[in-house]
Amino acid sequence: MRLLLAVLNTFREYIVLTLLATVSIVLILNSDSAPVRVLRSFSVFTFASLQSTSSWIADLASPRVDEEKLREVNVELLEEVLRLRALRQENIELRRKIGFRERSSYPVISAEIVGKSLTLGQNMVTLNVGENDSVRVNMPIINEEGLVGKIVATTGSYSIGMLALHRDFRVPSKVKRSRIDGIIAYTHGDDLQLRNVWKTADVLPGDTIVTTEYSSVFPAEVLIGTVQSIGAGEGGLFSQIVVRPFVSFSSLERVFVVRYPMNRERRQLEERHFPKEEAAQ
Amino acid sequence: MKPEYRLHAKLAGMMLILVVLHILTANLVTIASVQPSFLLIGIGFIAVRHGQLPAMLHAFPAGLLLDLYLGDVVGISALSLVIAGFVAGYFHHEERAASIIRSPRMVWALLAAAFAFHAIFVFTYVQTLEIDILGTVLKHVFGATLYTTVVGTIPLLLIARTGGGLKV
Repeated sequence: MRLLLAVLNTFREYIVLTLLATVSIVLILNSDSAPVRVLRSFSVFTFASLQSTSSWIADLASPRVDEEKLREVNVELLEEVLRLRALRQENIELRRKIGFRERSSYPVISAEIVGKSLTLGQNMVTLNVGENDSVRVNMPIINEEGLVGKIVATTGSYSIGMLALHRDFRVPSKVKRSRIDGIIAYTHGDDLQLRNVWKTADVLPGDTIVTTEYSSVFPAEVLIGTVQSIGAGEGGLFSQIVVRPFVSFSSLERVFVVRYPMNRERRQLEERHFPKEEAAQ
Repeated sequence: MKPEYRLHAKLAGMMLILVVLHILTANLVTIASVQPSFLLIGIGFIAVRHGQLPAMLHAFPAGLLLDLYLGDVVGISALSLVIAGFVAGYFHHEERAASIIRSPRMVWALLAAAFAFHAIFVFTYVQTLEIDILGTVLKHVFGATLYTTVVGTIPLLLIARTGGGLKV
């Protein structure tokens, strides 16, 4: 017994260390047990009330520091926002152009508008590409936003494009959502008109208008615009549908001529049997 | 009351004050989410002055108290403090304790204890978490060790200046 006591006395530090470490580990493993939770709630109650009464110590230092720090962060964030906005705009432009090239299933010829003739309903543009670049009459002109017009005349190095905002411009089109067919034409102002649509047809403001697969000039599903308003029309059977084009014609600078293969045999047949307005497209 | 009991009561009171001090002010002296442990400084002084056993016996309840209030894992500070007290106790010398506490040896004692404390605390705490171990060790073991030692040196310098006037 005396020997045991002597051993315990010699190694008492190690024994105490082992005991306390064991108890600690048991507590760690049972950190969520009910007795520990009771102890914790008592401890939290005691110290939290102490902490709340002495919160003025923290208030002495923290608010000023926080305010200054927040101002610095604010300035940094403002600069960051301005920089990101510029990058975002640049990114959108690049994405549009790249995305458009990837989406287009037909080869396109990039062209710059070198001349504009924007007089009352006769909106034409001159492009810096011509027959030498494989541009032909009736080839569609588009950009990353949608349908721009079509080629109406060519020379070796230049071509003339008729914009959709031309009084003679027509394109078979349809409502993307309900697949209702119609013909897009230009009357006046900056908007287009969707013609030949029955008053009972399923067309709603906001609907997207795209080209149809029936055209011998334009490829299908090219974006044209959105339905702005639907009127009753004057005593007729058709609605008066105003379409706001996607393309911003006033800021047009660069376009793409689509090398869409026109089927001449089909076109000749349609010209003989279809009404003149529809056959022209 | 026996002098021995009186001493332990005094040390327990000191540890309780340090617990309260830690709870109330540790956030105010936090640098880059690294904070010193006031309890460890107290335990370091107890260990060097009075030995391993009193250090461990006072470390456990103090650590437990802190865990119950601050920690989500109860027992982790208690374990770390007990081991830190044990480590710091190696710098204890029965006859020269009073002079060691005023010497650079005390800084080494604090450094060793702080390293043991933060290392055990961090390794026990992060073992179940998917975090950057190296970054955590650098910041919360070495960083916190250094910070605690520096803060612990302040009372050491005060004691050294007061000669025998201030007793721990």
